[in-house]
Amino acid sequence: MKNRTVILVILLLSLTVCALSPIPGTNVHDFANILNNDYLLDSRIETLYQKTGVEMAVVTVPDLDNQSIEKYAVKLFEDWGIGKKREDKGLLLLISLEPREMRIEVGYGLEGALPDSFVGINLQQLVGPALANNDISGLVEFVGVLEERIIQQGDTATIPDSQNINNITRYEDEESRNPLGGIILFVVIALLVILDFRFTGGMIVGAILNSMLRGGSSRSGGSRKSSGRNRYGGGGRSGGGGASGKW
Amino acid sequence: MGGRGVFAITMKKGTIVLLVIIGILVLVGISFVGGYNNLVTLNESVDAQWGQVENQLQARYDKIPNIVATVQGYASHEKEVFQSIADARSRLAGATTVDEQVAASNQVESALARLLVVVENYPNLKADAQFNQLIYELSGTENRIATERMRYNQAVQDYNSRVKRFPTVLLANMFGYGPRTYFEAAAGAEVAPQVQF
Repeated sequence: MKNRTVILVILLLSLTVCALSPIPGTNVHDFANILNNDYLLDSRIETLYQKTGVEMAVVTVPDLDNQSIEKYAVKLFEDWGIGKKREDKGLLLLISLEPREMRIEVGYGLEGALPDSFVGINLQQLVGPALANNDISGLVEFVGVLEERIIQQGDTATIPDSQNINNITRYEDEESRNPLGGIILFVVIALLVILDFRFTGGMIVGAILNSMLRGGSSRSGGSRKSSGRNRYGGGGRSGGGGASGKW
Repeated sequence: MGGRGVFAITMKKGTIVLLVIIGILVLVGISFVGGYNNLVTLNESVDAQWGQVENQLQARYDKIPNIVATVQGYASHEKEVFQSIADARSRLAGATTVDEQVAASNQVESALARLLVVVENYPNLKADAQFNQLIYELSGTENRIATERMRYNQAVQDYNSRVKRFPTVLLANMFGYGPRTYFEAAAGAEVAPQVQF
């Protein structure tokens, strides 16, 4: 019984890590309901993905939880894992309604092709007015400008044959390095667990699970997503590159 | 139910106790090895993350002369600000330890902040296309520093809490793993500088 509670608590903790989840089946996540005709933008981003392999998310939020838009963007980028792990070729256009701010966050892998000044000036010229006039075409154009530059700089990402490749979790490498050792360890542990349950009613296992729960694992979660077509969850990261502005 | 009966009959009580003790010892051994490896990994990731911070500090260092030159073109008589930037920059160049680098980079940060205040008085400068570009690059770099600093501090926190916690604290003392220092940002440096156009 005790163990079941422990497992339940672990599950609950992993749920609370990511408050905002991507809407499945689209590239535009309009949580603040400010974008009209967002299918235009969605299909433009889909074209960008098919041409360059670069994943882009447009996210609108009602507010920023009292954080700077820069911090919010970095966290959201990492939570969703936009772009593939290590390649880190993802883009996040974050728009907040209150305050009226916007930010284009550039993944590590695209910082070379998309310098801050380039994205900043285009953000100011195309996205700002578009938002103020409630006109989606500026955002569509912005995606086009970024796409052109990425192709021109030859900085495209690999396009996977199958979308399933996105299911890789962040710790995949560390876990699958030595399968034989892992199997032996598993068998030994399984035996010990069986012995423990037979003779002490699972006291030792319970204690270990307990200490593991208290002992960190603070960086788990985040990159694991499993609903609908997996656009994100590849584990891509950004390092604060990009530009912000007001609208 | 039948399985339990067979198990109890075929094993003597002494053997069972022995097995349980061996089991506990193996578990303790595994958790110690795991704890040690974990410590090494966390320590390495602190180092790696500090490398990321250093890269960005270097990037800022390299951008300063361009910014200063552009501002000087419009505001050559603001000598005090330029001097403080030059001082901070050379202090950063001479810094070797993490603590020195942190102090020097905070000094650079506040000197640059003062420069941006000065800039507000020169509308012509603010309209300069090249300056515009430089400011985007500068605030981008500041934001990158803030991001990598945050990740560095996270790595230090993960590592430190592991070092101080039982039973890893025994291993840490045995192998000489002490707590690492945080990168404390200068007051008010949480937000990247922005010039309003």
